[in-house]
Amino acid sequence: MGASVTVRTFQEGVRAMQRTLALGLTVLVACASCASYTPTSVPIPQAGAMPAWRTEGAVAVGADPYTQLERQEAVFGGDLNKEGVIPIQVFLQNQGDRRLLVRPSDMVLVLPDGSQMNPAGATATAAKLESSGGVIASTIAFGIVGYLVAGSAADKARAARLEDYRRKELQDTKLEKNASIHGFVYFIPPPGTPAFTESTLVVRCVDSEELTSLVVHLPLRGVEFKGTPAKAEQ
Amino acid sequence: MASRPFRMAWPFGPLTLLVVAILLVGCTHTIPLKATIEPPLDVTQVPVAVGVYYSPGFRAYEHAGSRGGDRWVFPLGPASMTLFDQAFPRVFASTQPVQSRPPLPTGDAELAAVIEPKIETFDFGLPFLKTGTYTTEITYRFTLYSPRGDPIASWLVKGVGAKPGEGGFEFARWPGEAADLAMRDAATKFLTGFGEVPEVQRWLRQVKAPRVGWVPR
Repeated sequence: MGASVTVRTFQEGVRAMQRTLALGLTVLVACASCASYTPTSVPIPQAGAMPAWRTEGAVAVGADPYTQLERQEAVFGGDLNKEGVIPIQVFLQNQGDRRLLVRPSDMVLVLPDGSQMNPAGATATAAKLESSGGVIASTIAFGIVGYLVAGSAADKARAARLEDYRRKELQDTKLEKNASIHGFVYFIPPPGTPAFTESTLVVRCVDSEELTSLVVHLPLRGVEFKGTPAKAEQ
Repeated sequence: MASRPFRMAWPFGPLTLLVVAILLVGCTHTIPLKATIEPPLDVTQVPVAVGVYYSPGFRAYEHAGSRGGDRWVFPLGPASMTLFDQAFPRVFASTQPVQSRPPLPTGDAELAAVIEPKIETFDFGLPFLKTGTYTTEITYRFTLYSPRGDPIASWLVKGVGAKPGEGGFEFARWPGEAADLAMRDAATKFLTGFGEVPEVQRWLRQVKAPRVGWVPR
């Protein structure tokens, strides 16, 4: 009788361990999947149908600030507004005969107070959405195993996000006749930037034969940037 | 029966507390940077002498950022000087350091222009695990001045770098190698894209220099 009680107790102990292990693995898998990032595609902008659109000489330029949370989550997998990033989809079309040089570094966002900013890189933008919360929670809950599983998942997600943001970024391009290009430029207003809703995107292209500049000013409405606190931290 | 006052047992010794305190304080890592251009690029040289100006701010530029409780310091200024001391002579027939922005003193009158690099932005990302990928991104602004001090051209060049890390105790090595890759990428883009900058093309026409370009091997 005593032996059967011992066996029953042992079996119950094993079952309890199995349940604990299964629960732990489920939580770990959940933590890992929380940290995943799935690259998405971007809707191709339609010429003339963008919120801001202008034609200057041989170039037509459109801009669409992606400031709505639903669109940000669909395209960037996160809330960029909360992190102080303004992603703007830009579309350019060469309507002239000569080749045009397009460089995102020639674009500037002009704020109502006259201050200007150049686009930020994809690395800085992706870094804004990095979070260590899941890794810390897993580490607290499961120790070194939790850290390794969640850390590995977070690293994979981080790399996938960065690659996706770079792929979506507008690239330096030589636009042939009738050719078009689109992509995102990311603006990160510096600390101390006041709130604003209206701004102007200034796009400069260069006629690569005449070496003349074509400058297009696109007024943007509804950006609704909430402002950033002033702080001197890199 | 007299009750004894309840005393909670303190499970940590002073040594444990010291270790925890050290871990919480974090470390400062000064990142070693090599700043080399490899492999050599065949770039058509502009047959002019150009002055090179490194401002005091550029020479001493350091980027310090906190990640994972540690402080990471990238001495980008000195490394960038090393890098461009290799890059500029590949584009210009001769280079000469100048001590100030133009206008140049009369002794430097034979220089066709002065070029000044500046670090516009730098950012880096660290993985949670050392075997993950370290990423960096650097943007330089180049300004070309006439000897009289008029700006001829100003343009940005961005370089990106990514380096998978390895296990071990070399914490500063992998971010350093990623930063080296980003600087090298920027230098390569400078070399291959210099002649494509429209304002530079106009200047090259004025100084009657042949169009520079990159010849792939």
